[in-house]
Amino acid sequence: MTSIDHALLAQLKDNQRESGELTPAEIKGIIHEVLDTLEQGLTVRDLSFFAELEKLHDFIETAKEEIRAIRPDTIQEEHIPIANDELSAVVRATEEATSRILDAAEMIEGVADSVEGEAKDRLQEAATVIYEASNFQDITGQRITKVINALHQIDEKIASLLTTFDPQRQAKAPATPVSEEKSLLNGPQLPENAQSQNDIDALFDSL
Amino acid sequence: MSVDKNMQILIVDDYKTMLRIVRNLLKQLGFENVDEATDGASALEKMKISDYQLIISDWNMEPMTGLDLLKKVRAEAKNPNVPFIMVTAESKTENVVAAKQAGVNNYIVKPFNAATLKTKLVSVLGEF
Repeated sequence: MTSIDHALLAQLKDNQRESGELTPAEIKGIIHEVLDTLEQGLTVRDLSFFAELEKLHDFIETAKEEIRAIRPDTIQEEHIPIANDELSAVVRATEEATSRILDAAEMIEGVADSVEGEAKDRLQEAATVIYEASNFQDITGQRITKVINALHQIDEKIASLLTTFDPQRQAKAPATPVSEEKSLLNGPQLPENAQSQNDIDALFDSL
Repeated sequence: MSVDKNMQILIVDDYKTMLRIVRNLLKQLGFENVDEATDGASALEKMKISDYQLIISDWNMEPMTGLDLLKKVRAEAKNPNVPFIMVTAESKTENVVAAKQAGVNNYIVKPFNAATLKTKLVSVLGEF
């Protein structure tokens, strides 16, 4: 029993001894004393802290409502898989188209072998230009693969967000750690960021 | 010493169209004895059987990257000193440094042209 309990008990006993029963005024006095004691136990800092906590709670609840409203489960279950499929289809289509272009270039080279002189040179030059231009398919494929990987990352983040809101939801397995060699797989750089062959040659020779 | 245009060359790339492009460009330069592998593991298997005089490899492959392949070639291949050219879209400084440290002989950035390929072959093999 605390000192406050002892004081209160003593006061109640005194009141009872003096008047036999407690009047409404005496009860009111006791209640005020109890409330004063409670307020003394809470500092201004505590009250401010509780107010901030309440605000934070309200903010989180609002954020949860807003996130539910944009239906992250739909993004994960529909939009991302569709985007993945579409991008994979682009890779396959460009690969098939490039293969047909190369068929044509090889036919041109075949014709070049059967002629002589300037015509031969021009046909071979045309085939070379086609081979050089066909590099795009590899670069395009790698760029799209980068985008697909980025979508996987977004997918994982959304899954993690959904699990936070709904712990019953099955959590996705965490991403596999990236090895030292894999960390160097950056894929093609955007033209404005990429180093040219001359830059690479200068760097290579300086090492 | 002149370059033997009948030398065995292995090209490694997981994109079949790239294998075809490099093979055709090599053919135009007179190199027709060209073998292909679509991943690092099969490239290493082929190297156990054949004595290649030049390896031309992509970097961005799974599961074994071109850098992994280069390191394995330098560490355990039958001919660890075989000339190795990296043909890759990886153009960051850290990539070039890592490849050079692993013992690459030259580095071609994709997309490349026939003239660049020839220049690098001359640099590695000598004039032809």
